[in-house]
Amino acid sequence: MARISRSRLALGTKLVPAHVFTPLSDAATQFGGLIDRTQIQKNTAPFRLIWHFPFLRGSMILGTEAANPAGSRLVIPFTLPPLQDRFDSAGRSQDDGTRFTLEEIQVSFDQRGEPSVINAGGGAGTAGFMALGAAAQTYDLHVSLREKGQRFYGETDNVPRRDVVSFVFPNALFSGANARFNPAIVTDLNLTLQPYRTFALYLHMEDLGTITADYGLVGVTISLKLRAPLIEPATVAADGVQNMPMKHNGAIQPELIAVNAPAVGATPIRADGVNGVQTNLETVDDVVHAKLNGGYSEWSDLLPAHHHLRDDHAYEVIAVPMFTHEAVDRANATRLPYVGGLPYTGDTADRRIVPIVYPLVVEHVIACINWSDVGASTRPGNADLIHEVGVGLGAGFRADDYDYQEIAYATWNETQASRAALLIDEVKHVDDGILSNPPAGERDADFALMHIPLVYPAAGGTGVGYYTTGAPVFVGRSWFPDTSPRTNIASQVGGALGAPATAGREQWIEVRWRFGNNVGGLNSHPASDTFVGHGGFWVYLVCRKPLVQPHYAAGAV
Amino acid sequence: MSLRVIGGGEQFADGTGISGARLERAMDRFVERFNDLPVRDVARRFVQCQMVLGFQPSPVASAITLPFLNTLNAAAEVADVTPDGFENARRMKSVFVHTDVDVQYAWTAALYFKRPVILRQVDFALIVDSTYINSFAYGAVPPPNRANGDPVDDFHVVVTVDSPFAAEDQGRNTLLLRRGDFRAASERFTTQAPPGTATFRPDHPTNEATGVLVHLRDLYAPVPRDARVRLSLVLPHWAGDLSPWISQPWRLQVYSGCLTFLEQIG
Repeated sequence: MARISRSRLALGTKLVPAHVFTPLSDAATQFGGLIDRTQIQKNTAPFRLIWHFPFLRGSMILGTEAANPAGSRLVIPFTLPPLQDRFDSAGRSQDDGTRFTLEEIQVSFDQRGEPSVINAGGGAGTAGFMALGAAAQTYDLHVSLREKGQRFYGETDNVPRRDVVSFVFPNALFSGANARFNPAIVTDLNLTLQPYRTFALYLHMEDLGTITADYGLVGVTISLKLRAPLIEPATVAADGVQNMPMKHNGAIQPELIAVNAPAVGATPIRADGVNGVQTNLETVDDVVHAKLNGGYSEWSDLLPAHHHLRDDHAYEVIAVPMFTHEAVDRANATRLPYVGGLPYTGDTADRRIVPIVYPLVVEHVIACINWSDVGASTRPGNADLIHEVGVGLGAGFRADDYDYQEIAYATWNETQASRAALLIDEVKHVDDGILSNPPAGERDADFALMHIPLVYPAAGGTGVGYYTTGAPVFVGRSWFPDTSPRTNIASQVGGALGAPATAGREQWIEVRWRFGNNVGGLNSHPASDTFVGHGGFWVYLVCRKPLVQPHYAAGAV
Repeated sequence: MSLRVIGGGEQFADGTGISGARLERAMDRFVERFNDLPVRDVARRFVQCQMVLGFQPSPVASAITLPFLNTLNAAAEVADVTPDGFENARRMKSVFVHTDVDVQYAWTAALYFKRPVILRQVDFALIVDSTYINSFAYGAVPPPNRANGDPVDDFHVVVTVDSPFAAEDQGRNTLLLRRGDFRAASERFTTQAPPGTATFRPDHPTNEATGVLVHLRDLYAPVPRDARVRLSLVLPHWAGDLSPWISQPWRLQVYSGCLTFLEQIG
């Protein structure tokens, strides 16, 4: 506990140095990188789960009751695993800073600046056109967040049954002629979300259009704003962080503040001078007035001998979209690039570029595979259909060199047995739901959350997560020569330990998802097999992020 | 010098009276402040958040423009009942290129910020390869005032904030950020040949990322509370299907976008 206390100076008590200098000395000690979150009034940091869908068709996923009596939904599963230094293999929640508070949920979509709904092109009418008549008046947006236990911890039920929060955005919010509430937002929820649980966000718009006119939502952005307590940083010494700047190895350089206490009884009480009350109060006052420091600079540096905070990092999740377009099966397999001609034996792939602005420490990577579609769709059960997910650091944006460093990778095939080695959880949107049907002998699930291990050396993973994984990986821009020399990192999962290929010059995080059937091709699958579900796949980067400042303060780095 | 932050405004000086009550008050306020530091006492008190966008168009030609939508609202774009007028006939500001651009297509993502944030960086990557082909240069029949081989200068990235007083009138929104009228050659992702074929797993079927990256950094643009922020990428279609955008500009590249902003702890 970093809080300080003092002896009260009651009336008639003899004044001794301890009345003044003990709390001052304690404060000076705390300034040496020991100020924790219990001493800061507002000690939580926000993070957001933001999903963006380019477009979602009403008849296919958002729900037109006439066409889909069983009800189709957009479902987005996710989980919030504790960071590696707090991860418990038994899934026990601990009061150690792993506590998430859901603050707000918002949904927005493009209406072209009019009270319209957009034609999605699946039926009559031209895609992209506005509907401003009765159809635009019919859709209420139902939103609910549900939770369930995880298969990794022994849960056998795939359906999220516990309702965390549920509400409706009425159509009046979107169809007002002169006033609309888009983005629509619900705030001040203050709901606690537990780690080691799977959450699923459900989105449903009843009667979005009719079965003859396929309306949809375009440019859909869904944001969950959460809060988590401030936590301490990850270091090489404590966590074995890979790719960490060797200048500091993540270890803070505390500011040393000296408080000079007079000897008991030997020195008269003074205000000024080296041992004076005012002098030493000013010493402490100067530090607070100059503001307390922590966190990282954007160039991955720590303040030299000027670090006060112990808890100067926070939880972060970056949701990276992959293949976020309409569902793909054999009939529209050419919608996927690189598959070639019939029978489509080429691998398809998607990649996202996530620029590095401020440093992060990547601690977990989780992939969400999605088979959700409507009608008699099936989930593939074919060992020849192979998925690969990788995360790498890229250097070379407008630069003289071009390098990549792998930081996470996994591969599996489309059988339940293959996924088992990396499976965190499965989600079925509702009992006997219509979003997908399983292959014979397999469990019914529309989604799966998969563990993607961080790189680790051949000797084995030293990280802590759902399955074997590597130590956390530092990611951050640098300036030469200060913060570019980095600690070793495994070249790949089970690879050699050595200097990073990006040599501390990383500028972006690149996420790739590749899959294909190189044997029989996608066309060899049953017509009902869904290769990519509506809304696509997602890769979640679970990170530790530092406190930062938005401008360069004088003397700061 | 006086105590500016701690000590509750007390100041002690040699030669003046020392009072136990004054000391008690100063120490009480000091300890209380130290154990309950307001956020303003923390220098670095922001954290970054990132919204990542992505879209991989179908490589097969299709007239479906989604998620790109026409920036012009007109009767010809209405599927059912045509209104007497449109609230936002021209819904995008500051994206005019030339009268020969007969259609502009905008892909928009919107966020609402209840509390103030600081917009730090906006990135939009338009990635090309052997399947998604865009030279980002005008062709043999260039548009007016442009020459064959000139890099394109006709697409935009804009960030707007809706007016708090007329939120639905896009003509009254604040143009927080605009990047346009720039030569695409100055925004190339890289001019270097990627090294080898082995990069990181999984290898991309074609090659390493190349194309254009609109990289707007060090913005530090304050966004007020209760703000509706819209990020848009606007692509042009030239009459006559002029190169490089031809007839379906949205289909020529793979998209990665990212909005980075700072939020205060608390």
